[in-house]
Amino acid sequence: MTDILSISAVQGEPLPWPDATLAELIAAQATRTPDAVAVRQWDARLTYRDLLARAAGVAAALRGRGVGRQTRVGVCGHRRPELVATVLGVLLAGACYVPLEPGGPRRRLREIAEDAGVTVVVGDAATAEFGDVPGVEALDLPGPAPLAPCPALPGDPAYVLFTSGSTGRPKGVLTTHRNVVEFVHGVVALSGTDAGVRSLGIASLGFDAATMDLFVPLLLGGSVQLLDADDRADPVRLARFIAAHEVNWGFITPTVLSMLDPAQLPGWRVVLCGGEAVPAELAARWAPGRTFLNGYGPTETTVLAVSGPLTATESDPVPIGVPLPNHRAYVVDADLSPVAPGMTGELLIGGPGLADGYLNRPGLTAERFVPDPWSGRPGERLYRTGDRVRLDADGRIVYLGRVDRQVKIRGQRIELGEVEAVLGGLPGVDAVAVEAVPGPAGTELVAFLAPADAPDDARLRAYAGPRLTTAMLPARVVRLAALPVSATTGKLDRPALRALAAADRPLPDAPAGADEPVDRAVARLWARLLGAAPEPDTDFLAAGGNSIAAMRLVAALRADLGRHVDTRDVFTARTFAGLVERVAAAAPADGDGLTTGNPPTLSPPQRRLWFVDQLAPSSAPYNIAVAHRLHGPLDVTALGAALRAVAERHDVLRWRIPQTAGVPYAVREEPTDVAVPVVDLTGGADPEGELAAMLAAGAGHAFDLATGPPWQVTVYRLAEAEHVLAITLHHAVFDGWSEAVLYDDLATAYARAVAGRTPRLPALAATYADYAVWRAERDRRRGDADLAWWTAHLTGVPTVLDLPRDRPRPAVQTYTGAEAAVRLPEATDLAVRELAERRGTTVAAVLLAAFGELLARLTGGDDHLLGAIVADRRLAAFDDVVGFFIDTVPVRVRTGGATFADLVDRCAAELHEVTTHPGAPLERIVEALGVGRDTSRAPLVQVLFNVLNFVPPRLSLTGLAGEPVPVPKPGSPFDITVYVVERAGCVGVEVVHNPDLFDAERIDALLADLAALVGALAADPGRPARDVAVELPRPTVRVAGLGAMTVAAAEQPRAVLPAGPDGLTDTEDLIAGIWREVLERDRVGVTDNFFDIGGHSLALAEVHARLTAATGRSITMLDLFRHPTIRALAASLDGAADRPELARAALRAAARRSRTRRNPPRRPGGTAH
Amino acid sequence: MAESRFLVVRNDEEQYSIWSADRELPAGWHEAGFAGTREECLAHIDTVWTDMRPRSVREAVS
Repeated sequence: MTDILSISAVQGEPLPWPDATLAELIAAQATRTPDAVAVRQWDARLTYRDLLARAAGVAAALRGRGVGRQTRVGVCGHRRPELVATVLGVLLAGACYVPLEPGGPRRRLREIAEDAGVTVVVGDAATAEFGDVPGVEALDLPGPAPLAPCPALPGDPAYVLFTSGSTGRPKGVLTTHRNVVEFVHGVVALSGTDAGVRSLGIASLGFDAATMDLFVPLLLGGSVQLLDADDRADPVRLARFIAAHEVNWGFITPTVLSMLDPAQLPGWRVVLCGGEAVPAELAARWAPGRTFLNGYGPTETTVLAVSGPLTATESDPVPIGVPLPNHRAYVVDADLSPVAPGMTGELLIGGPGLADGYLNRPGLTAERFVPDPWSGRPGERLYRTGDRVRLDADGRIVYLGRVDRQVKIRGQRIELGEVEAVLGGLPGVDAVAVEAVPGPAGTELVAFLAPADAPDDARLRAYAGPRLTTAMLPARVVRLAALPVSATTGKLDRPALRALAAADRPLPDAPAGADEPVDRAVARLWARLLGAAPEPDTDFLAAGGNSIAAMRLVAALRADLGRHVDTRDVFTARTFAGLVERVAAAAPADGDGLTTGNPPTLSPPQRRLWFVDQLAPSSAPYNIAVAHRLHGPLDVTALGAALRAVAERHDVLRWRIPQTAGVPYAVREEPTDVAVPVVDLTGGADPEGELAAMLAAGAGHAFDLATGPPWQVTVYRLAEAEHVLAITLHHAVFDGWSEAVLYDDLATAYARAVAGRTPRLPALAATYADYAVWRAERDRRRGDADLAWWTAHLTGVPTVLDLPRDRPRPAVQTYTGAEAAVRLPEATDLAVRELAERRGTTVAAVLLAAFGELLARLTGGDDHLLGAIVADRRLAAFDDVVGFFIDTVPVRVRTGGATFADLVDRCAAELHEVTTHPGAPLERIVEALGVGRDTSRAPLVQVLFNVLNFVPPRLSLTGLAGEPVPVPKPGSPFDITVYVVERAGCVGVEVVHNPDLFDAERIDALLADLAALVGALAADPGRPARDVAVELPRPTVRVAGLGAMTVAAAEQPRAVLPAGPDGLTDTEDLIAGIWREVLERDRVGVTDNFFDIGGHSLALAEVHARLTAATGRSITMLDLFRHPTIRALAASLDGAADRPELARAALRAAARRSRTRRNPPRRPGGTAH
Repeated sequence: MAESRFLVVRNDEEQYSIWSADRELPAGWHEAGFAGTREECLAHIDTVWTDMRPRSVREAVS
């Protein structure tokens, strides 16, 4: 018998644990906290009830296929919350899961499934990965089912994980329920966590750390914050995920942790770090202010076998700690005899975490799991870890490296870890790995250093020379931006490094094309956008360039050349040679901050559009409707397939925008076939008339963004070979630019479909959600500075623009629309173009200047505020993305005494400047300017001047001749919208106006006078503008209808209910409570205007949701908007109910509940607290 | 140098392993009737340990 004190042995504390299966324990937890969130991924959440219901569905489907105790079932699913339900479902069926991760090398996946004897694979990727594998039944995620008891026993296997050794084929480790349950209790005790745990769900299901990520929270009643593949692959997104999900507990490898900033993640209270050696420097960064635990353990001991806290003052190599509860550790020599304390040897682990062994590998199991001669527990085994360790003076285990990382270089025994430790100490080296590879003169060492500009060979030799023996000095050094990380384990990918070292080729020192001369690169991009290669003196505008082309060119120059240029450079340089000069002199552009693969996320403009859509739910002013007449044989089936491919590529077309508590969010539907109804008009008396009516009706379709697709497609059949394809889309997922993208993609997919091929389209470089995330970050970064610019820029501007009209303004804005258009006479067209060219600007700026002068003559003022549209497509990656990238920005036009040429210059500068402050969207500007809300008009901008002069794109489908069909605009969000257009090579102006304000005759006259005025001004640009064509506009345009410049009286609220003893009615009290909560104010006055005391539209949506919930009544958002004070709203609610007494009773009850809950202090005198 | 000799051993859960023939057998482990080099013992185990479930699990009925 050996004396236990004289050998290297350490014991963990004893700790009892329940002898039950994982499935039983999680089901019991679900009974206790059914409504608690069990799994979350951004907006997707599963409560414990949901989780069990989904899991029970999986279990029922599996049982139906003969799956039971100890059956091995493959799990193949994407990293969505349902994956956790799938895993639990397998366990509930009594079976044991085998992770088969989608997207990996198929051959390896199938080998694992075969090795594991898997005949059923379940999960949302099962069919895709295993649908065609003989002998394997692939089962997509079944629906929920009632819960049935789990037939497994605690000693049954829960999962098999396949681990790669340094050599040989992967081996499957059999882990039991008992292993896992015992481990979870151990790690909970060790890290001191409870039901409040929100774990970092980062580990791949095939990596043992996933056991911690999933089962620690699920056994405690906490929640798993599950990262999808993209969020876990990018440090910036990972950090954002952790912060957004308030992760407070989690395991991570040092390689990944080193890429995060502790200061950004203060809420992550317990950090378990391990899987590979933790550098002392990392502990120094992360340990202060939180629990930082080192964690060590092979899969064969479940997850962690040794762990301990690290402080900021450790030195390398840091201790990995002491055995987990119920476990023991020994340090032994090659003969499995214990070494003396402090001596180096192999680590052996014993305890209830030991796996059963390796699946179907008895010899290997017997070799690695050996009899335990020291614990005195009969029949126990110890696992040989293959890791070299020693005990430090405090009895903590120190990890030194793998037994098999000892190599011989020129006869000398070298520990690679020692070389790494020394090189890692060189200032300027962030990460280091050393591998031994065959070289020309025998085995040689190759060192990999990060970052790419790590110290050069001379500095490295000067530093390492005195610290390492000659044999330990690396023969070669490779510098990389970052060391490769295994996607499965998050650990350093050593096989990849060895492959890199063996390849023995110099790394390419610069990306291909980086030495392309600037002039050639600019010419390439220019030709791509404008269709023809430029000569040095080619003029950008003359070559067909406009503001859109300039924006795209600038985005491409930034993306391809990394130069900071803006549209002004294009317009100022004008010629190709001038532009090249400017680009060459431009400063390097900053990183664009774009991340990709984001889950559906609403952009700030989408949120605003959602809100205004709620205000005007019955009409459809935010629709975009397009139609094409197609001559030739239309293949409707191919069209449907092509539309599906378009929706697959542009996932925003599959979004739904539901809301909870007044906060909208996006969810994405899976791609499905797109229904293409065919309306046959061939038999009718007046098919063209019917078509026009149906197009108008289709354009006015009211989309329900929460529940249905945001677009619809209809085909009208006019003859055997003549159809009209009509598409209506909600603006929330579309814009003018998107139209060309849609047509291009539809044409490509249709061509493939009619040729009998799969109409699949390539994936986008970035999605709309990527824009939303990019944009939110941009707005956050620039918002305050941009807002300051806007408030300064707009100081003193009149915030209301009332054009002479024919009827009083309705008390509540209506959204009806009517259209009119004018084409400039040829001479005017020419004069406008010439003037634009002389002033170095666009036609749009000239027309804006003329419109500004017209406004001055209509209102008598010389300072007006219009709106303009800016397409926020500032990165080349957004070029091909369908979606809503539009911002409405204020445009200030000051006239007053200037010549028309000056006015044009001013307008050109203004149009440029308003595009350069995108961080503060219109709503923030409205708030900052303190513009009072008014239900009768759109805030701040009542007249929109749309300068995005798109050439209308054409749809050209294979075998069909197509031409656009005009579709009436479905509504008018503004009093007047002016579009500058180019039709048949001639400039024109189109107007959408609200006929509730203006008669068509007035608008026609206004357009005619505008055309005449712009002609006169452009012909005489050197004269003060006010002196030109003073007879314009004519009185029919200038003089308002009698009594029209008023606002129609709003309907009066009915009798106000008697107030209670505290001066408030129950309804008022209820509303006041909600306001206080939403606005986070202690007091609100009953006559305070919501928008004057910090309310904004999204807050109003929140009030709306709460008020609807509290009263159980259908209240429109518009009601709230029309009655912006507590008193007015309460009066409206009390008066408007069909059965006032019932409504009052409901309100009283709700008010009582609200009082009980908040118990606010009461004061008399009409102030609600 | 003569190769070390090992025994094939088995515990009450009928889990197999190997043990140096020179050393005292730990409590709860029994000789399984095979001795040889390390490789021979492991190869033998590959042929005889056909059901790797621990005995208690194999025999348990849920």
